[in-house]
Amino acid sequence: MTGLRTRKLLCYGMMMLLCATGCLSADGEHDEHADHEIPAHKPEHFVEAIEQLSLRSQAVKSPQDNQELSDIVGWLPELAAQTDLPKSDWDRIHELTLQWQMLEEQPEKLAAAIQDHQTELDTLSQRALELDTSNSLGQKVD
Amino acid sequence: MIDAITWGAVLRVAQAASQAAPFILTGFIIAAVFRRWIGPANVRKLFGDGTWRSLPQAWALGMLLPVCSLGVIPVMREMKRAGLTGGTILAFGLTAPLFNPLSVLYGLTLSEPFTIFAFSLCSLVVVTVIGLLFDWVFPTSAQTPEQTQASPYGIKRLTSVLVSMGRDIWSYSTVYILIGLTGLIVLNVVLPKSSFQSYVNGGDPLAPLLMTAVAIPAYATPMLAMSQLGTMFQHGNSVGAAFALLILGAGLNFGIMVWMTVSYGWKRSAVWMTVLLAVVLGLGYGLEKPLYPTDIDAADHSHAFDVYCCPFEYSADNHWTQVQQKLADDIRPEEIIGLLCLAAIAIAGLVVLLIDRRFNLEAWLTTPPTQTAESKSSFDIVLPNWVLGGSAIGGLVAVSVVLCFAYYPSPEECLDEIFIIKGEVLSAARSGDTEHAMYWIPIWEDWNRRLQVGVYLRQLSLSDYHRMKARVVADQLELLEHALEHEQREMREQEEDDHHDHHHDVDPHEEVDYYATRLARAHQRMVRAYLQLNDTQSKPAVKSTDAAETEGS
Repeated sequence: MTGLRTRKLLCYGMMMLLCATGCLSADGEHDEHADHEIPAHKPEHFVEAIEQLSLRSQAVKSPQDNQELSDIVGWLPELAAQTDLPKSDWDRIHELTLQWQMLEEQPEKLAAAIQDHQTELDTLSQRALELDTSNSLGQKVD
Repeated sequence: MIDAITWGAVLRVAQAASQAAPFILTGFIIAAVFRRWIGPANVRKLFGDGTWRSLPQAWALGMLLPVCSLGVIPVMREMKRAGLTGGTILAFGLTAPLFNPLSVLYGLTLSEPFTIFAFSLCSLVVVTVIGLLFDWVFPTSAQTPEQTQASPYGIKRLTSVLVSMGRDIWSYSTVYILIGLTGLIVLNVVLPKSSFQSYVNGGDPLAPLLMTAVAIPAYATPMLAMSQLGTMFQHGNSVGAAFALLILGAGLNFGIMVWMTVSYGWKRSAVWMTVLLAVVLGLGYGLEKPLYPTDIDAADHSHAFDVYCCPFEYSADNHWTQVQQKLADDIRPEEIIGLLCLAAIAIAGLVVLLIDRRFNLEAWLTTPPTQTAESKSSFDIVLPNWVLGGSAIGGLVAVSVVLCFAYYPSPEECLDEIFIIKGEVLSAARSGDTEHAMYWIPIWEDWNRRLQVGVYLRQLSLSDYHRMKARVVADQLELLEHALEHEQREMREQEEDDHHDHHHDVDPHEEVDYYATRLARAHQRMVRAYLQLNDTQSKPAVKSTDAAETEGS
């Protein structure tokens, strides 16, 4: 069973597999490179994200509005990391994001929670802008 | 097309052979130590043969030993000679290539720790279920243990391990290893360049199945598998596909399948494979929702699997030069050492085979030396074989832990390396040398990950803040890579057809410049964050002293 017959069967099987894959290989001339799709509502930078949160939290009219608002909340830590805000500020933003993500299914509560922290968000946004400007980086990249 | 496929296969096999060399060497060492120092009886004890612990014990030992799916083949053959059951051998053989201290550490910083923990537990479920089933359905899978005489203490005992390694490298172990590498040839033929980027997206019900088809013939070192696992989670790819890649891509190859068939027969092997695939796919689909990351933007493609595809465009030429260049660029020092050691063992093995023709080497190795009263000193302590064997195996584990600190240097050292790489990438990108930039980008990505692991290793934690800073750099690297690919495509199209005007919404080179600038800024922020790691209080951001590098290097 485990002797010569099995080894022969295996050899034939491997040869057939190699031949079959040769026949099955697709035409390689097509280039299937896919581009990154960035959602249209993704803010370009942290300052814009704060502005969008302020505007959108006051105008949640449909499930799509709520979804986009939730998306922006989710992007906040990533966008904040693209500024010079220190760790303590970033941790605060991350903490707020985690709290707000638990309210995703409750649009009114989410909007209210964002509005309650608007002053704090505006302060963080202003600080980010000042730090980036002072570090000669500029917040807005065109 | 034939040229591209042929040279692509040469490149993939050569790359895999060099990556596998240190692990194959380790596998031969472990097999020889099992045979000569630990002995069949103690090997059975080590794996809890005949007890309920055999499968989880095999899993646990597999988690510790640093071998890959090719290097585990000599060990499995030795375990069979020692008389272990098929279920135990296959449990070890499937687990050992998946995890080791280096790869687990790597994985803990890439994915959520809970994910790695869950995958480890699921691998235990996989090997336990199929091992129990195999041993229950085929209770006579264990062979009669080979009787081997132990070598006496002294130089013969040391030489016996080298002799075993030399003989093993010229045995069917190497044949199965070579068969294991043929899977890469199959993938190289079936998958044109970059053709597997969009087939494992999250939410795609076919993703685990397609990944299974690719993972079985694929070869991945434990580190590569863990790296790809992390990339899949960061891109929101299918969790089931990630699990299939880990278990089957890292754990299985054609060589193991052929060895199984020869050792246990095609019926038992078919049963084992069927159950394995059913359990892996079942768990994969089951884990899809619970482990799917919710805090990332799912990408619609990933470059992580380009390494399994043909590396060359079918229309390209100059393959041999590219193969040489790629091998010279990619080979690492530890791989060179591994290859040299294997070559030395192969030469030693040839010498052993020649000696065996004229002289009974085995009899010499097992004959105790003549001992006189003067030659025995009270300070001479004869260590039992099992102490030597245990020390050797334990030493391998300890060395792999220590190697973690070398492989994942301190943050300062990583940042120094990244500084050099950054210069290469940004200057090449801005000057239009896309090939050079694209060569260095994966190296930067690798050091970016090593930076995180280096911190985690030394501080036993990595804050979300630092993780996000590194992730931003990784994202910008990927965007720059795409911009460079876009520029390359445009240049190629322009070369092919100079008569047509090419209108672009965005000038490809402007796009490259844009992302190069963003990358430079992201890198600066990351450097500040990591250099402030030891600060107990956060300080205002430090003024940049080299702002010029963000505008052009």
